[in-house]
Amino acid sequence: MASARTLTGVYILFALCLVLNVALWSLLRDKQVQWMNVPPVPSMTTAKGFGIGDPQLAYRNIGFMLQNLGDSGGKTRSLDEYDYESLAAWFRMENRLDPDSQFIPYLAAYYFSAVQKTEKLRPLIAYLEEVGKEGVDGKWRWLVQAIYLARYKLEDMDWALRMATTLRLLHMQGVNMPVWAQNMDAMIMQVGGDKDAAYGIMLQTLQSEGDHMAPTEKYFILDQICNRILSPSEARTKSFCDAMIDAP
Amino acid sequence: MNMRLVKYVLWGALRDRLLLTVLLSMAVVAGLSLFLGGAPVVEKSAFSQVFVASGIRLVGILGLILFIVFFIRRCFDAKEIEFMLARPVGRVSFIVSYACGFSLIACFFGLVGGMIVYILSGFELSTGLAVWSISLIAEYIVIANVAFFISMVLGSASAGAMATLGFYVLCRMSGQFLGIADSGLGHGSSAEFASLLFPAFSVFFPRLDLMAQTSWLVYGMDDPSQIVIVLVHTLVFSFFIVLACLIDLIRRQF
Repeated sequence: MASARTLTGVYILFALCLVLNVALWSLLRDKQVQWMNVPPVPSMTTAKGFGIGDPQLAYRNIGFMLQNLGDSGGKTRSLDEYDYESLAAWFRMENRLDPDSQFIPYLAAYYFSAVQKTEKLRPLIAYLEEVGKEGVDGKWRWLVQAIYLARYKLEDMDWALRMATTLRLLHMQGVNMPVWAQNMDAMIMQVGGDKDAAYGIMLQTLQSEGDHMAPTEKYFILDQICNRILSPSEARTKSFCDAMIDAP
Repeated sequence: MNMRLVKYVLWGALRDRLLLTVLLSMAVVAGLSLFLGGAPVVEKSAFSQVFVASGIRLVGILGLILFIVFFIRRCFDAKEIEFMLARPVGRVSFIVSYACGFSLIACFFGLVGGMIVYILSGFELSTGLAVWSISLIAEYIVIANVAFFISMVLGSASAGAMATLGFYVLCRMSGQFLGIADSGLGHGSSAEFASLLFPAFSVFFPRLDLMAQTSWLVYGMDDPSQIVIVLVHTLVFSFFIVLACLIDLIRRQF
């Protein structure tokens, strides 16, 4: 049996460890995980390792990581801080892991496109253009989003027109799309002004493709129309904006 | 085959509360995966399905490996195997019965995994789900027999569990490793040596990367017949590994 002296020694050591633990905890209390920006893109082989040999799991794991990339240590980073070149490279790799999913194009078109520094949009628009050009399974609408971003956010008319021509070519190659999408080049050049054209593109997308969209995607398009394209007074005249207008 | 020995293995699983533990773990993992799957902005059901299916697959594998390895090592330590072999139970019958018992447990876990995914997908039975469940059962049977073999050969339970887990990861990644070896992308003498070595070793790695693909749950399957060859391969591999186990036991001196 341990003697009283040994027991006292153990108690002292225990108390010392407790004090040391509290001291170290207080030193680390305010430390946060450093945000390392968008990580470098791994090789395709490494990326598949994210799913232990299951590419679909790898796609979903990486997609989840990309969606929550800016959340670290309870802080949310501004999109302006992101490295959009690396981001677009991740998107391309994801597209190779699962070419059928709409999740990554959706993130690119509706979430990451909200960046304030519009020059950062170039790699993102280039990615959407690539996905849209594939033309399969209704993916042409990502090309429409790329045109919208190039024309009305980046204000690069030449690029927008080139993509609109691509859209027309896709239709000629047999990709099924509504008439307004086939005539996108005319729409973005119309004399009615930028706002009317942007409004037209978004509304037509919603009307013709709404049935194939997830509710959140419809919500984002309505948000773009009612809170970004239209002025508050104009939005109030549209019944579909009733639930969307930002509170004053 | 000795039915009493098969029942003994199944009773061992019940006694160790394996079934209860794995079922509860699967339920917890499914709940967590559903919670995680609700976070993405779109395609929530696809995320949930993929996370639930992958989580369940991993829980089942961990449960099987840990149970089998520790069960066999305990049998050795308690001299149960020597006791059984001293009775009129042949070594062939012993190995076949144990393999059969472990395979039955593996089948049960695979069925439960498939059932959970079926329930969480809103009771929609698709070809993709059926093939995923069948291939999950096949994957579990292979790993159960590999865990049996490794625990018979290695003297340490922790080493056996680590080795089986390593084997599983290698099998799941074997497609990637073979791809690297075939592409000749490896630079340096060690990488080139590994590129030569891996295809030779990969003969002993069943292509588990071709099985239980979660993309089948999300997009379905165009041609379910393509999985038949993989299933036949796993069946052949299971026989191969059980025979290896048998050879080891026959040659063993107690």
